[in-house]
Amino acid sequence: MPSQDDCKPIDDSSLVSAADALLERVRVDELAPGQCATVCEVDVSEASAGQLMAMGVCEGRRVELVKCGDPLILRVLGSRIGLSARLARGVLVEPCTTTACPTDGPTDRN
Amino acid sequence: MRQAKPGVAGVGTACVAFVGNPNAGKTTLFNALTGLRAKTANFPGTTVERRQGRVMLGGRVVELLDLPGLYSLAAATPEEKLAKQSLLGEVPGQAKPGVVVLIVDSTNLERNLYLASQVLEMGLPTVVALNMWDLSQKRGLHIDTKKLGEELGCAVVPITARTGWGVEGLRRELELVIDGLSAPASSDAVSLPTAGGCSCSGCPFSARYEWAEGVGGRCTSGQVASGGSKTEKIDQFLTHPVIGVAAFLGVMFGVFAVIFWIAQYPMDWIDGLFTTAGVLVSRYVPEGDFQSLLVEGVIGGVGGMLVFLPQICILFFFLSLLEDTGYLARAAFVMDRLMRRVGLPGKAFVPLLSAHACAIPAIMAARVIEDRRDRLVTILVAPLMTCSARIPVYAMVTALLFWHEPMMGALLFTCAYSLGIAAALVMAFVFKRTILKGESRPLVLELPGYKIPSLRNAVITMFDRARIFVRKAGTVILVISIVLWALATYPKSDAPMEAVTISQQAEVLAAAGEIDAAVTLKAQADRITNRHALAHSFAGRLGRAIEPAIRPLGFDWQIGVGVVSSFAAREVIVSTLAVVYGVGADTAGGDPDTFRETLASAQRSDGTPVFTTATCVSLLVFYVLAMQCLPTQVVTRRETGGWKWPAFQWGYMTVLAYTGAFVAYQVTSALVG
Repeated sequence: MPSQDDCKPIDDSSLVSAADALLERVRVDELAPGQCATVCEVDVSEASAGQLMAMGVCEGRRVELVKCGDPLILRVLGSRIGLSARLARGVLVEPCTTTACPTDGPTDRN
Repeated sequence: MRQAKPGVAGVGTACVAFVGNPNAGKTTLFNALTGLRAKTANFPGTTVERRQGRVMLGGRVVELLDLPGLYSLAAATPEEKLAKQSLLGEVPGQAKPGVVVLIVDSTNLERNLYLASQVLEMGLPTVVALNMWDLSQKRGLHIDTKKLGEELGCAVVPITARTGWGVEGLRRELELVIDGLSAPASSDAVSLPTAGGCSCSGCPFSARYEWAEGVGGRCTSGQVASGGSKTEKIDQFLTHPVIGVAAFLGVMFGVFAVIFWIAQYPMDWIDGLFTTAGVLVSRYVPEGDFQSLLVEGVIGGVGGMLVFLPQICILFFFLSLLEDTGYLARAAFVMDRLMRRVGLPGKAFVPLLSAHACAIPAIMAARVIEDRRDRLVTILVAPLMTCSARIPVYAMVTALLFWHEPMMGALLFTCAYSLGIAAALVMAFVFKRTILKGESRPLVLELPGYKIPSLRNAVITMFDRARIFVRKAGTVILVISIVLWALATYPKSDAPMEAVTISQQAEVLAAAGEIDAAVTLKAQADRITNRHALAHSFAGRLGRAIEPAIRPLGFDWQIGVGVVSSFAAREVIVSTLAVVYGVGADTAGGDPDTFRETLASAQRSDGTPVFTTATCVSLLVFYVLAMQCLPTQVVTRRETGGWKWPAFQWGYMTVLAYTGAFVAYQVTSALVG
């Protein structure tokens, strides 16, 4: 099994400092693998923002980090999207309280 | 076979547009309905493609139009803009579609319904094809198609395009809708997102997604079981930064091995076919300029182009299979980080690697790159990769430098390949920092679930690309081949005295019954005549005219003739050198020993040998870096929409080749002496 050693565990200090500023916002690349979050802000170039939003990475959508690294993989609306880390840094999310995704409606996990 | 006329829908012909997300199976469905009758063409004045084909539906001719795969109709990309204009009937020369077939991936309703909301808003009569029904059933997803139809205000037909299941039902539904076109449309109150009074919180996307989520939630039930867990397991390996790259290199190596292994047979057949055609024409057409034009200009030119077809076909066949499985998305994913170092996206890797077989399919394959600048840079540098047409040139130089030294020969080949790759990467880096400035578009890429590929799609893609190449490249290449033929043929000159004397001797010998000796002498006379004729033709004069310019590269005027005549096809240099040095073009391939010895013993006017080590190295470097391929230029024109970029491509590569050869010659001369 390939290792996931290029993934950092959640950095508590950065979480706390982010929480001080804006509720509990973090960048999507700071999530832990398997963690779920709601998108609050997409701050990337216009062309990329259009692409992201059309694929479901937009305000209010729930995303899950499947695999971290560069590029990373997000699960959005039941499909998986490869995302350059440079873009991921512009996507601010509010992590869900539990690591498991709440099952409202059909999800893609078993 | 019914011919579709792109852009012209006859009076009374209904036009049906196919819209859907990428990976929703739109092309598979379109192919299932039209098969090989569909034609691919660009939207007028753009490089975005559409496919069109006419089929019989319920006793009438219907024009089917396959629009590019889209995630949204926001008109942010050229594809989205053109798709939207098509649906609005704003594309010149194309009728406004009467009906829309919206392909929705049933395993991913919410994301697909987002595009649906935008399409339905346009108010065109729509039929929803709910694709991948087998997959969603297997996952235990129950979709209430009747309820979904009510929510969307249109017919919903479940299908599995890959197997053809349900396509007949879709066809019937389409017939009904087309029949009802004259009837006034019933505008039921369907609550589309904009009409539904949403809380638009600054993000216009949110409202649509909330609507899509709502509709999806109301129409589906059942706990989804293990959606794509197999895909995830495979992806742990194939998207891994190390294992993934290794796997990708392995896959591509396999594909190329197959290309070189299989393609040589049809290439030999095509070669043989055109040789036979040439022989037949020589037999039945009286000797003279007209025969020479047919054999060398027309048959030679067309044959030289068609010989690339097998590689183009095989490469696109395999790329289509890989794309269909979902694997190519993973390849772009793992290569992205590496390619970004030279300023290109991961998607540029497959085209650049393909260029090692032939630059033409590589340039065509660069379409997958979304960003215009990224795509242009990929197209510009792709011909620097060593394609198979360079191999004869490399082989000739290797024979001159390292005769019967396989290890050194292999080393020389490796150096030539590496030089091509290095030049391409450096030039890409330079272009991305100068004329096509900008960071590569950051990766945003759907990783679709792995699927069994469709052979049918692969075959259709293969024919489609072959057809485009032959049609687009054919005419231009024919014209240039004739021009080059004329340059090498005119003005005519009388046979030199030497040849006349030898011919006379041959006749004497033949009369005396010494046939073998006579044939040898006659061949010698022909060689001298051909050499003389080429030397005094326009091509020969051009060679002499450019001699001062190419002398610093270590080339004499005869190599100059070779450079001029191989303008359209680089491998021609080998046969041209055979003629100018008096070997006879046929001997170049057939008898390498004679060819090599003649070239090795060729002398300049001052008596020094022509092919010194320095000249050989210089010639090799020149042909690694020079454009010298007209079909590639024509395809670049098609893919960039004008002659500006192919002209620039030719210019920069020629400058690069000249500089490279100059440095190589001067350095090698200084070292070897």
